This record gives sequence, structure tokens and C-alpha cells, in this order.
Amino acid sequence: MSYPALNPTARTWTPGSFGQSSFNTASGAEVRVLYGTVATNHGLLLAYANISEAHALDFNTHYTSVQGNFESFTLPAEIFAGMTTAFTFGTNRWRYTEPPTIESVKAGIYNVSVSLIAVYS
Amino acid sequence: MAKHFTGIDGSLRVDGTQIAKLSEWTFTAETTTLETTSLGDFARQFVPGIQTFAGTATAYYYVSSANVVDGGALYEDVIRISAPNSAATHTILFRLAGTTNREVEFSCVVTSVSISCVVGGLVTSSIAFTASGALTKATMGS
Repeated sequence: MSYPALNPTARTWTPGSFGQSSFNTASGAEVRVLYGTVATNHGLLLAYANISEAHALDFNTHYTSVQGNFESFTLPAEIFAGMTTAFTFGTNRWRYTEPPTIESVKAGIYNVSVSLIAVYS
Repeated sequence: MAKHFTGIDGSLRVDGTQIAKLSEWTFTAETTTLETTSLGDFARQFVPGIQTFAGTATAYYYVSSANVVDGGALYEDVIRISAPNSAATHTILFRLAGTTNREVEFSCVVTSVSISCVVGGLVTSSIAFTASGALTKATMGS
């Protein structure tokens, strides 16, 4: 099953970091070693407010279909709805960092929160 | 037959018994909204949320020939020396009488009773109640 193609109601993007190490020399100077030119571990928090039960169940089904945070998957364009220029992240593979939370609001209406991290191969 | 309704058409029944000396009632039905606006939308969108039904009534403080206070059962829900009831205890029915009666009915919790006594005037009581659960009759719009 594909990730649900729904426009989120809130989206939080956290740019990844560049792999590096730092050393302090005997003189006290700091030396940094950069391991790559691409930032990794971009984070994406998505919130879906007041969605239908069918859509809420889609998230549960998708989470199960990718075996939790084991497999990576692609995201549909709807995730970045409202943006004219997408974030630059160099991949479109993602995986869950934690299970989605599905909150019941009233009968048939749910709030869903999803936390994802970019995956590079 | 075409018809306007006036106060003479209105009545209020508590547990099936009509309040005899009623001067006014109001009934309010509300629905909250749940926002479903998503990123990329330019206008807010909503779906219906939870319904609330409430009403008020103003009656004259009246004692019948049998020495029964008109609507007294409602007063005793809040004017009492013991703990409040643990559940909705009364059924309220608002009616606009006509060839076909237009009605709403629900189980209610009495939320306030205010009794007013003034020099040179009749003693009146104002009662407010809120519905517990869905309406059991709803023909005001049909």
C-alpha cells in the first residue's frame, strides 16, 4: 500500500545534519572533518486534523504494510501541498521514526500524527 | 392552511405534564465545527462536530388547587439539600401546536433555576436546561 495521498494540515520540516567529526589538537585548535557533502536525517512531522475514519485507517494500514520503521517508502506530492518550491533533500525515500498516533475526536473523525525521517541508499 | 405561530401556540411539557403558567420559552440547537483545512487550501473548511441542545423557560410561580407547584420537579433538581441527580431525570418537550404539532423532545439536566420576587409584581421563575443525548423528537423543521 502507498502512503496516503492526503494534504496534511500541518507540516514541520527539520533539515538534516552533515556528517562530521571534530578534534581538539594539542595546541587547542579545533579541527573538523566533513564526511560528505549531503545532509542526512531530514525529519518530517505531518499532522492530519479531523480526517475520516477511512483515511485514519489508511495510515495504520500503511504502517503495517511497511513493517513499521523497517522498510522505506516514497511520499506522494500531496505531502508538500502549498509549497511552490519543495525542500531539497536528495531522496524521496522515507521511513517512520515511530508509529503514527491516531486520536479519536468524535465518531468517525480522527487526528493523525506521523513522524518520518529521510532515508538514503 | 398558511399560518403564523404566536405565543398561544407554544407550550412546554415536563415529563408529559404541561407547565400551566408559562410566559416564555426558548430552544437552541447548536453544532460545533471541526476544521479540516489542509495545506494548500485558501479557504477554511469544516465538518460538523458535536451537537448541543439547550433551552430556557420563564414561568409564573404558581401553585395549583391541589397545592402542587407548577414545574416544581424542575426546581427540585437544583434547589435541594441533597446531592444532585447522577443522570438526566426529566423529559422536556417544546411544542408549537397546529394542525400538525411541531415539537422537540429531549432528556435534560436542569442547569439553573432563578426565582424572582418583586414588589407589585408576580413571582416568576427562570429555568435553564441542557439536553443529555440526542433529541428524541425533532419535528420543528418539518
